[in-house]
This record gives sequence, C-alpha cells and structure tokens, in this order.
Amino acid sequence: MREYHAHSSPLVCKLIDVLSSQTGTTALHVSRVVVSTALLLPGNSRLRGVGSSYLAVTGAVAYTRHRYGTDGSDQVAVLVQSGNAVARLSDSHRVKDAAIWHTALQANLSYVVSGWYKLLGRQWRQGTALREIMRTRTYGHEGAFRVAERYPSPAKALVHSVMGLESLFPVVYCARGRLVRPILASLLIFHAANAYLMGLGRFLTAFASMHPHVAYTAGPKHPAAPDRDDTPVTAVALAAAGIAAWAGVRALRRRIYVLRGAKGTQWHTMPNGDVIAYRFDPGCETEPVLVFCNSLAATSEHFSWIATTVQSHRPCGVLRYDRAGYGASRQTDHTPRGLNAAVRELCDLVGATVNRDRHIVLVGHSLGGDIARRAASSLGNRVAGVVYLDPSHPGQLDRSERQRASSAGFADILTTMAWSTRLGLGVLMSRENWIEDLPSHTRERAFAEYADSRLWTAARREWASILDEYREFDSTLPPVRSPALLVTASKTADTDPEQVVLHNEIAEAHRTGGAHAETTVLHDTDHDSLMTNGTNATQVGALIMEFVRIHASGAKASFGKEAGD
Amino acid sequence: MTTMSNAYAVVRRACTGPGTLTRAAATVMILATVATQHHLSSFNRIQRKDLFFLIPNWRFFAPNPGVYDFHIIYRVRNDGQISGWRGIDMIANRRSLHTLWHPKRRREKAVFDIANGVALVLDKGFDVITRTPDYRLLSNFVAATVRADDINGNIEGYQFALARSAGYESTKDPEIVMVAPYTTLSQ
Repeated sequence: MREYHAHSSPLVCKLIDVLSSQTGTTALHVSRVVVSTALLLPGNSRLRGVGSSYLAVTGAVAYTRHRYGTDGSDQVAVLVQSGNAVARLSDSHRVKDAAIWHTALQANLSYVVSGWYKLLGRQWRQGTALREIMRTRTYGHEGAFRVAERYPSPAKALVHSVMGLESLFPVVYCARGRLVRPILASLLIFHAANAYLMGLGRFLTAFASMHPHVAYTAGPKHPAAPDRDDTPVTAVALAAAGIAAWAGVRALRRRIYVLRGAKGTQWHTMPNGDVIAYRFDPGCETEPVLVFCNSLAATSEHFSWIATTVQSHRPCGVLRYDRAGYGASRQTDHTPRGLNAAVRELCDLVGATVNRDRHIVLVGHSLGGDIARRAASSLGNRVAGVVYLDPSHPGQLDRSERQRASSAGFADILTTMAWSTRLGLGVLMSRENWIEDLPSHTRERAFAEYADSRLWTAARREWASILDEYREFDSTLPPVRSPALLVTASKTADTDPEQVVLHNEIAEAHRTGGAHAETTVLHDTDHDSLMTNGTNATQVGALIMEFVRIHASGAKASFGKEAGD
Repeated sequence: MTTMSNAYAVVRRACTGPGTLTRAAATVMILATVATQHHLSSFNRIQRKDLFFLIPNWRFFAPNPGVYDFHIIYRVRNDGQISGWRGIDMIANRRSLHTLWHPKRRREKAVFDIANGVALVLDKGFDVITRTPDYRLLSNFVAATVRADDINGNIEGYQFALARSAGYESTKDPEIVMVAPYTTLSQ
C-alpha cells in the first residue's frame, strides 16, 4: 500500500506506517468494534454523532491499510457514517437534511449506476449473467448454478428483473411515497438473496442502512419534520448543469484547437473533398523524404520523437500527416473507409507535396505499416524503402490468437470512447504515461487529439472496415520491390510469437520482390513505446537513419509509376 | 415574472442559509461519484486524486461480471529437484453461515482484486508486471506459504502461476493466466 502513496505527504505515509504495524491495525479494529457496539445501544445522545464520526474517519483510514479485500459495503459504511455524523452533531435541520439527502442520493446512484452499466455487458443483456456468476466458487452457489443452467428462461427473466429494479430505482420518488415500501422491500429480498447465494452478507446490512434515508426523502414530509429541506437536490442539479456546460465548452475549445492544426500545418484537398492536414519539412533535395503513416487511433504526434531524431542527424525531408478524420484532417462523409482509401490518400498526398525526382521512405507504425506496404506497390520505384514499426499483417486476426482475443472487445471500446468524448467526458481523462513521454512541446496537442471524439469516431470507422478486410484475407502477401526494415517490439515478440512469424512474412514479401529486407527486435520496447518513449524512439531513429544511409541516400528517383496512378 | 421569481427563490435558498457548506460538500461528493463511474481507465482524472478511496464505485458486477475463479499454484526447487505444482486453496465452499459471518471473503476478494490487477498489465511484460504492487504482494504471499512448508530450510526458490477456472462448470478446462518467473527464496 505504501507504493500507492509514494507521492503522498509524509504525514499520510507516517499514518500508513503506524496503521500497518500489528499493534496499530489491532488497535484500530478493536476500537471500531467497541464504538460500533456502543452505537447499537439505545439512546439519542449527541455522543452517537461522535461515534459515527469515529467510524467514518477510521473506516476511510482503514481503507488505505486494507485496500485489497475491501468492497462496496465498506464504502457504503463510510458514506452512511459520515452522513449520520454530520446529521447527529448539528442542530440545524437544513444541515441534517443535506446530510440525509447525500446518503439518499448515493443510494440512488448505487442502484442506478449498477443497473444501467449492466446494459453494456453482454452477459447481462443476454441474461446469462446469473448462470455465469453462480458457476464460480468465489461469488456463486452450486445449487443456484444448476437451477439456472436447467431453467435458462426463468434465469434470464430474473436477470432482467434485477436490471429493471436497479435501473428504475428513482421511481421510488414517484407516487408520493407509495412505492417506497414495495421497492425497498424488493431490494431487501435482492440483498438477502445475494447474501445467501454469493456470500455477500455485509452488503445486506450496508445497503439496508441507506434505505431509511431514501424512505425519509422519498415520502411526503413527515409530521415530525414538516419543514424538510429538499434544496440539496436543487444544489446538485444546478452544479451538474454548470459542470455539463463547462465540459461542453472545454470540448468545443479542444475541437477548435485540434482542427486548427499544429504550427506549420498545410492542407491538401483530396479529389473526394477530404482535407488532409500535413506538415512537410523538405530538408535537403538530395536526401529522401520520410513519410510517416500513423497507426489506428493515433495521430502524427506519435512520430514526434522519431522525426526529431532523424532530422537532427540527417537533412532528410519529413512528411507527417493525419488520415481523414484524425487530428486536423477532415473527412467529408462518415462512411467506413477501407485500407485502399487510406492508400489512395497517402499516394495522392505524396504526389501533391513531394518533388517527383525525390525518393521517399515510407515509415509505418502498426496499421500504418500495412498502409505503407500497400502504398509502396502503388508508388512504384519512387519508394526507396519501407520501414515497418511493429506492423499489422492482414492475416493476424486469423492466425494470432492473442490478436483475435484482443480484437474481440476492441470495437466496443472504440464506441465507448467515441460516445464518452462526444458527451464531453474528455474533461475526465487523465494524461496517460505515453503522452507524458512525448516531447514536451507536443503533449498538449497529443492530449487534445486523444480527448477529442473525432479521433475515436475515425478509429471506429476504420476498425470496422479493417475487420472485414482482415477476416477475408486468406492468401500470401504480394511481392514488394523496395528494401525494407522491420522493427518488432520485444514485448510483442515475447507475448505473441505468431506475430514474429507474421512480421517475417512481411519481410519475405520484399525478398520475393527481389529487394533486401532486414528484421530486428528492439530490446525492452512495447508496441507503443517504440514511438512514444524518447529512448526507444531514438534507437528507432538511429535504425531508420542507417537504413536510409544504405538504401536511400543520395539517389534520385527514376521515373516509374507515380503517386496516385 | 412569478415563475422567474420562484425559480430565483429556489436557487437562492439552495445556495444560501444554514447548511450551505454541507450542501456544497454533498454536491461535490455526488458529482465526484458520478464522474468516477466510467469503466474505462482513461477517464480516471478524479480517481487519481482520491487518496483515501472516499468516492464509491457503484459498478458492481458491471458491465462485465467476474465469471471465473482465480487460483494460485506454485512449485518449489528443493535441493535441486523441482516439485510438482501445488495449489493454495483460497476459496471457502459456500455455506448458509456466510450470510452472517464470512471473514474469508476478505481473502477471496483480495485474490480476486490482485488477479484482476495483474491481468490488466499482462501485455506489458514481466519487467513491468513484477514491479507492480499487485504482483509483489502475490509473490510475497506465495513466498510466505513456501517458507511455512519449508521445515528443513532446503527450499531454494519457487515459481508460481495464476490460473482461472469456471468453478462448478466442470465442462470447461482451467486456463493459465500467467506463469511467473522463478524467484529465489531469500532467507
């Protein structure tokens, strides 16, 4: 636990140290038992508020000591005791009501969130969740599992009933409190069943402890408290509206910032109306132009380290762009586009921006590698080489079990990301480590693009077409006549040996085309850190420079097949 | 005008008067709770600031419920000989008494949490996995179990694995989730 608090204040660290000693832990729990027992005694003394405060504070503190093994019932206990402490210690009825409303609203959230979130889960939607949970020894019950297996239709009906009960819990506030007793009684039965079948006894008492707060706030004003203050709901609604508006403004500002493009961005309009944002540093005319093709759900910012490394050592030209829909590039329609469209886009951009007599070297990461390989054939002998960084192979979903498994829920993740960012939840996103690893001047833009819904929407569309194309792939790769360098991340090789075989096949496609191809595994790298980690990307940059020196330097392109042909 | 006046009065009453601080605190907690329910870890900006885990997670068994049991198995190197795999049975068979008293639930839940934590970083490779608190806790737990069995003090090291099974559904074979590297048993 100390590691989770490594960056906390010395006071918090000291507290954890004290609690982690056997004496500290024992004293904490013995004192909690004593106070809890005292609270079970009858009476209405103000000391009960002190007792609740003690249980709330020590409950929260104990969480830092016992993070593993705790569950929702512990969190409910802290919430209820906090609210009760405030209500019991205050003389103001408005303070008491605010505390009670807080607990009641948390109770609403506990059921509503759990209920609606279940709709996202396949097992819940299909009604198999009961059978699949009951089959486990940890949370299940053998008898209940056998019954659910034998009678799937009633089991499915039960699952959907629970989802309905939880999702629609706020109707308890309708009908002037007449629904309070039936709904709370139903939930008590639900918790009692969970206690017996799932071994979740503590949930029964914990959640039942929130029901009086719900009953107090859902019914008509009680004769004992005729001036119940319901303004906490207004306060929450006002604040929620304010925050939603703020999140919307932030999302709009982010969108404008992303669409404006980075400094030096230029624009190329495709024949179909798409507008491609690119940055082109022509470098020295005698050197080739490196064209970077980014991966799925990634933008050209991912190449920042590699581009910087290459340019600081060789006067190569560098062309970075974002496919339509990504970054500042705009897609005119929202239909799924296949890989051929991405290839046409790349060829058209190269044809429009790079002098015809200059060689180009295509550098593609992941899916960008597959696009580069296909584009190499279309661009003909302008291509002096192709550099693959942990590339995708069209046969990977068929042949790599790991790729197949990870792709199973990927569409759902992309959809969730797209909808979440569209709803303004980008404000809740934290800067992930890979963003912090990028050069400092690119982080803000990389994060803005990452938190903007356009990236996820484009990725979802792209993924839908890729899935179809990759599933249909059942042949060998066509020969490619340009030399190739293929860099595999060591963790890709370690965790998925089939991927190494697939990478070798990509290299073999170049050899079959009569060109040189070399493969290398870069130690201590993974699929993304090849690009985003400064040290790794510098190594990749060095490999690219060496490849360019041997295969692409100082030669003019002989005219053959041109871009966009 | 009357409607506007009433609305203003409601807002004013919500934002002023006795209990304003409590209402503000309750509002912050409710909104923070709503803001931390997202199931994708990318949306964890607020969770990362919750040092004492005060903000509840209400996504019980959703969107994807736990449908596997996790098991820890290990083997030891003893005087140069490798033992067979042994299991550490962490799961108590369900009894009616568990409705009222189930202290082993804490240990079961801890294994469940740790296994899920390790599974999250499996694709990062062992140089990352072995540095996580989840893995180190698991490894130390196995080391303590090994030491407890090491009556003669001859055990040189151990290797453990994390497996998952479908519990009572006997038609499905257990699967290995992770096989940890060999670890020397420090004295």
